[in-house]
Amino acid sequence: MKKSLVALLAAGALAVSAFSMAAFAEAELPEDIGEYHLGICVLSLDNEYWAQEAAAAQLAAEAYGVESEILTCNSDPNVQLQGMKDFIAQYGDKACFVVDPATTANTASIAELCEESGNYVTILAHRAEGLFPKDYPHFVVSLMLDDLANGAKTAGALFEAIGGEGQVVEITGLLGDDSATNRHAAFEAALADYPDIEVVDSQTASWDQSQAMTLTENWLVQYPDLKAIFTSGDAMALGAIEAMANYGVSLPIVGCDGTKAALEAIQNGTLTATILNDAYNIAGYGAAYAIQAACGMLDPTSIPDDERLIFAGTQLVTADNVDEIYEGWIVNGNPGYDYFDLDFTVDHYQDPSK
Amino acid sequence: MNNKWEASMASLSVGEQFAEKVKDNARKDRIRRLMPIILLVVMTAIGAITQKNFFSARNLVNILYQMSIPLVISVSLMFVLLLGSIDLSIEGVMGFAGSFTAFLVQNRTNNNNFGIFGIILVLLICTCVGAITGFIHTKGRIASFITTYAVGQIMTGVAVLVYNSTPIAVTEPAFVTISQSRLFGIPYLTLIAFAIFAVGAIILNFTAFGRAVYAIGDNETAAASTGINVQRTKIKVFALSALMAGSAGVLMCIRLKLGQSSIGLNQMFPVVTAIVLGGGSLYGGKGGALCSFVGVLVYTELTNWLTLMGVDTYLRGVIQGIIIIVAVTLTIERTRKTISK
Repeated sequence: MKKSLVALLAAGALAVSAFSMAAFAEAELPEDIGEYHLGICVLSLDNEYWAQEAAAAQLAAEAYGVESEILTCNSDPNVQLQGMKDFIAQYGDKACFVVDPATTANTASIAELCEESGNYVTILAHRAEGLFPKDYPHFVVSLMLDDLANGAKTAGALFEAIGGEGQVVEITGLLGDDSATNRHAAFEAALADYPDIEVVDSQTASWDQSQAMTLTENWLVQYPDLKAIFTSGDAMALGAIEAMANYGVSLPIVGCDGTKAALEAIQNGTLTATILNDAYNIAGYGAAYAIQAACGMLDPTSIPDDERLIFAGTQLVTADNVDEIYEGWIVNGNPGYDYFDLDFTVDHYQDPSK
Repeated sequence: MNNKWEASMASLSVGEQFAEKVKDNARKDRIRRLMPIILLVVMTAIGAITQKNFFSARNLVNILYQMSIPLVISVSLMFVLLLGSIDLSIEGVMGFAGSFTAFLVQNRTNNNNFGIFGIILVLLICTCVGAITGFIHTKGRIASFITTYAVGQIMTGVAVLVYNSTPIAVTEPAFVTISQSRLFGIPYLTLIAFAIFAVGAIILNFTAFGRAVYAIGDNETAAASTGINVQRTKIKVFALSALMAGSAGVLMCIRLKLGQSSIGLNQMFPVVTAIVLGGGSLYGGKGGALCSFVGVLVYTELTNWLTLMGVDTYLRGVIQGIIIIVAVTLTIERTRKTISK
């Protein structure tokens, strides 16, 4: 039911735009492309971002005329692997995958599974340390989000908004989560350029809106001179914004992710900035890489080793560009990417030594 | 100490020994009942001494505001725990209620604007879900643990379907009024939550239904033999529990102005802990409105105080856990022989 709903939505969005795109490149596509099956492995569909990833991968699959199926695992790494094995059993060498792994550790198992069975796979957003596509011919590319660079961008935007001085609090994501760790590190690093910023407290709200709201309520009492709030997730930023509204203040605040509600908050002026982690980019092009490799349009081993470690493009969203992004990403549910132009996703490359 | 007690016992007849033992238990019970109040006084004193802002008007309002939704959830658990059962569907029902409320009132995603009728519909659905849960639990003779867990899963799933993976932002002006307007400095949302709690406390203490709940929790067989319809009472309790969970979900939606399944997440166990802190029992029969209120207040003060103190985020969980264990050690009831039921 969930699956069909998402499929319906994606198909609706596609009917308008992606069809012309597919028609243009049809001549170059292999004849048997319709026999290929893309497994879209996401953690679950109850999270806005993961649902967007799935929709994006479906857009790419439809652009190529490949069948696709969403495999959810409720964040369980074993369920994810089993789902992939079942998919391979069903479609054999016609199966390929785009995977948002349940855990970072699971990326190694995924790469090994696909190498053993000879199915092409793109892994999104996580990569175990020391796991390189060059060691696995079927691990097409690793597409990551540069949390360090993104955290630096939002922290910079926040510090500039308060003139580079004053008391700031930080709300971090789930303790131990690698995105939360990186975004916190980025915040700390950004502080070096702003010596007059004083961080009065830093607490985790575990990505949760309600917890962030409670923290902010308490901070507003304790730190009357507070100037700004840094958060590493949009949900937490929205919680803090509600607390400020109830208290009758409106301090500069930044988030990260680019959810619908956060973009709306930028539109109405309560959120200063966020990062659009652009699922249509990372997951859409991730799917495109896997499909091209599977049907022989792309030989992964022909790509230089270091260029298989990619940071996908993201955008800093502020009041200046929010309307345009809201229209394309949220209203249309399709920013109109050309999934045949694989280089488009490359923002910069990852550190090949890690 | 024990030896002295045994020595003094030795000189008494069996009847006198029994009377002594009863008296001794009654004395221990009185102390145990006082412990939650002592805990509250100690917690408040620590807060006031260590943080000058703890007793500021703004912070007291914060504490009242932050305990509002847990208080509504505690009504749910107050009845269920008194039966010796558990309702694991609370978080799922909350998530559903919040999501569906956001879907029905004025919002940014669709053109619905049902206002108060939307909320009434949500609460009616929640009550029916609770009644069905109670029916399956009693008539199907399936443990409440399993039944409510499954129902919780279903409601979480339904919640996600309601908003189709993209949470709905609420623009209903009444929601802004409820969370921002104040009467005597206290937010409307808090007043609503306290009113709900008061009604729950009255039902528990002053109706035949409330007395039946106590009786069943104390001894189900004895209760049945006095003519109490055990199954019907239990179904009513689960319906009430879901109604309260639904109310908590609606209030959470009002607080956050966003409807999503995760608003119920991690809401239930802190309240279970709070009730135990307040002297309630997980095995039925012991507890009630005062336990719930004191427990929720102590728990809210604790989390508020930890933030004011600026405890390191990595240590926070450790400290909170230790304080809870120490506090529960002081307040928990140990007269029952078994620790599982």
